Amino acid sequence: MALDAARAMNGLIDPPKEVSGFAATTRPVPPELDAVYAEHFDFVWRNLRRLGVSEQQLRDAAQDVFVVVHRRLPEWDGAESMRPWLYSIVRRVASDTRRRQRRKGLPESEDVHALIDSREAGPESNAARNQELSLLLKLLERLDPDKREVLILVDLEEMGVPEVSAVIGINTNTAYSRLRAARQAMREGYALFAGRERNSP
Amino acid sequence: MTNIDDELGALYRAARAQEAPSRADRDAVRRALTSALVVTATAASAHAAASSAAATHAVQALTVGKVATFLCIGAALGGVTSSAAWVLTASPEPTRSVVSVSTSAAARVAPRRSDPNPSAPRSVTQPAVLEEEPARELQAPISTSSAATRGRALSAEPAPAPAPSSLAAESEGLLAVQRALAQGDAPRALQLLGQQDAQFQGGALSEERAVARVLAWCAAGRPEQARVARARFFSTYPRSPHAQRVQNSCARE
Repeated sequence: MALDAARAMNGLIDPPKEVSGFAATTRPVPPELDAVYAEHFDFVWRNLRRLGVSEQQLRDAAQDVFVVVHRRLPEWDGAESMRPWLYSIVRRVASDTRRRQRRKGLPESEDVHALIDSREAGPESNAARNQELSLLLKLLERLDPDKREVLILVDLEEMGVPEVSAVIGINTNTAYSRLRAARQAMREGYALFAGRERNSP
Repeated sequence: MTNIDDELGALYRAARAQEAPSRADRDAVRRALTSALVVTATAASAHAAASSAAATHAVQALTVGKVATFLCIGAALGGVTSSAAWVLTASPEPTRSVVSVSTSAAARVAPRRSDPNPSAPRSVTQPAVLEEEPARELQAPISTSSAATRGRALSAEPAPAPAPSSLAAESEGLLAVQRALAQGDAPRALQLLGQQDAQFQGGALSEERAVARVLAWCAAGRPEQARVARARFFSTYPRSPHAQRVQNSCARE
């Protein structure tokens, strides 16, 4: 009994179907790792990349994220949806990975265009297929990291600004302000790109 | 401005379609993650064997169980393509049925509450043996195969479990090793490892078993054998992601 209590206190409990005695506790039962992986792997992957993790480091970084998720899943209190909680892990892992990339002299996202194209080397259509992604990453790279983060979550992940401000730990007005600035910078970057495209032979 | 906003919106939508990871990416990460978690759980179990604290046992048991769930579901989804052992073929409803197997595995790794003194470490009484054949040399050999062990463990389940895939069987075998370590029974862990190496030659978790062997010899208080196992590990897996774990064991030089 004491053992069960200790398990419950630590949040180390299995789903209700397995330990129905704990089903009535107010704390939601954390999902299993496999369920989180299945549902959120894409989310983790694309946001690591958007936050500047190089193609070469993406797999390792994604693994790091889920190792942390595995360790911290019992702490997830269910008060917020899973994605903001996951994103807080993603941004930390992305930051660590970028730091390691810099230390090792690995290319960061400014070279991502070439990396994406080279990864998909083969049929010409592959390069074309990645063109938009490559451009998006380049435009994001131009942004100040604080603004980039807000734009990613609001405009690309379609989270609400109040939710985003809670994830990042800023007040809502600051989040709106960063979003406005980020959108403006994206417009300017895109206009530059479009101008070059029009002027190229 | 509106044109640019429209074009940016179109760019976002197009980019989103290109951002999804490939199947190969998804599978590679799943496999690496599984491997990392299994080794982490094994090392934690070995540590628990040293401390033999009941609460630690409970935590490790659940950790191992969750890893097993992840591992088996990964196999059920056919999530890894680099090894045929990862493909599940036995069940008509692979995901659901394998979840059943794996969650029961989680339940089975709970500590033995009938143990009168769970904090007392078990004595390690095996004679000096060559590292190559621990299973044959250790005292009190178990009489059941790992398959029989599975059958016994599953006997309390209300419904019969489907036949596990080779990966599921292999992972269950490794879990049995982890249970033995968590219970302070290093001789049994070594015995199981010997059996499984024979049963799953070239299996997907060979590397993890090699790590477990080093840790099991350490848990058995046999650093000289651990160093033999360590040398073999590094000769077979010179670039293993688990190298640090082995280096930090009692077999470090």
